[in-house]
Amino acid sequence: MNIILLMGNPNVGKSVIFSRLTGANVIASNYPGTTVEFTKGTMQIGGCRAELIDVPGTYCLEPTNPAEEVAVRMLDEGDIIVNVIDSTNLERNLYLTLELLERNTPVAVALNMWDDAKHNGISIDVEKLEKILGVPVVPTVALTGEGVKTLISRLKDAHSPPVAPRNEAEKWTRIGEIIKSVQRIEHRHHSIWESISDATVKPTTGLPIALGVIFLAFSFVRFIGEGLIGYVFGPLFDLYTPVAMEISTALGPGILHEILIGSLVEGEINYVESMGLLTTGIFVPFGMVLPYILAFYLGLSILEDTGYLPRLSVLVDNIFHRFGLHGYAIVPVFLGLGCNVPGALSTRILETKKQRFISATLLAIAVPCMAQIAMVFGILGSYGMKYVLMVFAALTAIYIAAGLILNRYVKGESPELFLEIPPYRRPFFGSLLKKTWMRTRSFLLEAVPFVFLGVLLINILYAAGIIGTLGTFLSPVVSGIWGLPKEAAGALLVGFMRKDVAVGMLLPLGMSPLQLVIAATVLTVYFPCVATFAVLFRELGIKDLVRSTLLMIAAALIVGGVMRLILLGV
Amino acid sequence: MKLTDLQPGQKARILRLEGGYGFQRNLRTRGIREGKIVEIITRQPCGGPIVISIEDREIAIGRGMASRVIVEVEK
Repeated sequence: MNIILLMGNPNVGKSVIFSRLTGANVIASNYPGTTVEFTKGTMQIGGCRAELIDVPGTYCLEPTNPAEEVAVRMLDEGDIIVNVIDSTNLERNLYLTLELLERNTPVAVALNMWDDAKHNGISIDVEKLEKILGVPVVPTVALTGEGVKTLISRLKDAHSPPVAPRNEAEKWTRIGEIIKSVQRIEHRHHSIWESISDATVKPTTGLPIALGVIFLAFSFVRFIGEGLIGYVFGPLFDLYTPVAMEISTALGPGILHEILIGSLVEGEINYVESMGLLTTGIFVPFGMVLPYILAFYLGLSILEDTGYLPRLSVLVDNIFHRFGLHGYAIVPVFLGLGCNVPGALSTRILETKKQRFISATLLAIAVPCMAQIAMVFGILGSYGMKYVLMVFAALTAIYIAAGLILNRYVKGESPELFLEIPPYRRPFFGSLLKKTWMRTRSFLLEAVPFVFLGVLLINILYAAGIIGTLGTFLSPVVSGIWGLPKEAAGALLVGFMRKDVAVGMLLPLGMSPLQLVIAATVLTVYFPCVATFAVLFRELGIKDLVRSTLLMIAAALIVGGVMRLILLGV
Repeated sequence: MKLTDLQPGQKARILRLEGGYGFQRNLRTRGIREGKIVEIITRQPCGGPIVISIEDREIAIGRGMASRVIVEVEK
C-alpha cells in the first residue's frame, strides 16, 4: 500500500483536505518514541487503497521542535508528498516547497484556500508555477471540496524533478523570482473580519470578548452535555437497568454481588450510590463523564478551527508566562475542567519537558474536573454559594502560587510564544466531527479501563476492611494539620479512587461549613483520579510522576493547614 | 531600533535579524524577513507578546524574540 504524506505549514487547511480524502476510518496515534500526535487514514486512488498521513505542520525541514522533527522523520516513509500551500500566503509557503523538491520523494502541490486568495485580490498563474516547480500544481478549496478530485487524479503525475540544492539565502532569492513571475496582487480594503480580528486580540476589547467567549463555550458544553444525557445516554441506561437487575437476581447476595452490582438502594439499582462494577462502574464513565467529554472536545475543536484559540492564547500568554508556560497552556485547563484525563493528554501541545511537567502538575493539583466540581457543590451547595466560591477562590490561589513556585524551581526551558494568528475561518463540519471523534476515542481507550479498575480496586479494598485500617493510620494528619474529625481520613482515602463516594462519607460527620470547605479543597487538591494518574505516568514518566505526586501531597498538606489557620483561626 | 520599541499603529521596515542561524531561519520561514514592512497591531500588557502584521498576516511574538528584530520606522 502506498503511503501519501500531507505536508505543509501550520494553518493551511491540511486537516480539512485530510478529512475530505479519508473515510470514517481515521486514527490518531503518537509517533513512536515521541509525544507528537499525528493522524492517518485510508483513501482510494484509481481503485487502489493508499494510506494518507496528516503530517504535523512544519515551516521548514530543519526541525526546531518535536513536531517538526517527526515531520522530517516521516518524510522517509512516504511514497508521495502532497504539499498543501496557503494561496493567500504563497511566498512564505514556498520555502518548504523548495526544500521538499530537493528530496527524492515525488511531490504534488495543492494551492489551497484558492477562493480566499481570489477574494483578497491575489491571482496566481497556476500553469506557470507548475512549469517553474516541475510538479503538478492544483488549486483547491478544501472547505467546499473544489479541486480535491483533480488533485487526486493528478497524484500519478507527482514526481521528483532534478534540482540543484540551494542554501537558505538562495532559496529566498529564488522564491522572490517565482513570486514576481506568477503572482499579482490588487489593492483591496480591509474586511470586517480583519477589524474583528484586531478587536479580539487587543487587550482592552479582547479581554471582555474572551470572557464572553469562555462563558459561551461553557454554556455550549452544558447544553450539549445535558442534551446527550437526556436524549442519548439516559435512555440507554434505562434500557440497561432491567438487564442489570436480572444479573443482580441471578447472582444473589454475596461477595460477587457486592463487587459487580454493589448495594441496592431500596431494592433498586442506584447508578450513583450502588458502587458495583456493572452499575456505578459503567455509569460514571459513560453516563456522567462521556457526554461532557464529547461536548468539551467539540467546543475545543470549534475554538481551534475558527481561529479563536490562537487569539485567546495571545491574550492570556502574559499570565501563563509567569508560570513557565505560554498562552496555549489554557487548553489543558479548559479540558481539565471537564475531565483531567483529556487535560493531561493535551499537555503535549507544550514544547518543553518543563512546560509539560508544570502544566500537568498544576492541572492535577488545582483544576477540578466535572466530578470534583459536582462534589464541591454536593458538599457545600446546601450551605450557600459563599462556601462554594471559597473553594474555587482557594483553588485559583493555589494554581497561581504553585505556578510561580514551580516556574522558579523546575529546571528547563520555557520558550516564548511565537505563533501565527490565522484569519477567522468558517469551520468544516466533517473535520470538526472527525477531530472530536478521534479525541473521544483516545479518552475511551486510555481512561475508561482505569476508571473500571479503580472501582474494582476500591470495592475489594473496602470489602476487605483495608480502607478503615489505613484511615486510622492517617488520622493524625487529618485532625492535627487540617483540623478535621478523625473519621474524615477514611473519606479522603476513598477520594483517591472515587471523589463522589468520598462526599457520601464526609456528609454524616457533622462538620461545620468551614470545615467542609477545607475538606472539599483538600479532596480536590491532594490527588486526581486513578485514570489521570495513569495518563500522567505515560506522559511524564515514572520519575516526574513521583515528583509531581510529592508536590500534590505537599500542596494538600500546606493548603489544608493554611486554610485551617485562616478559616478556623486555630 | 528594535521591534519592541515600536508602538501600536506604527509601521517599520525590517533591517536585520540578530541571534543564531536557526533562530533567524525560524523567523524568516514565518514571514519575518529583511525588507518586509511590519505594523504593530497591539502590545499585550505586563511584558506579554507583541502582535504584528506582515503582508496581512498576524503573528504573535514574545518580547525576547521581538527584541532581536532590528527595524527602521517607515515615514
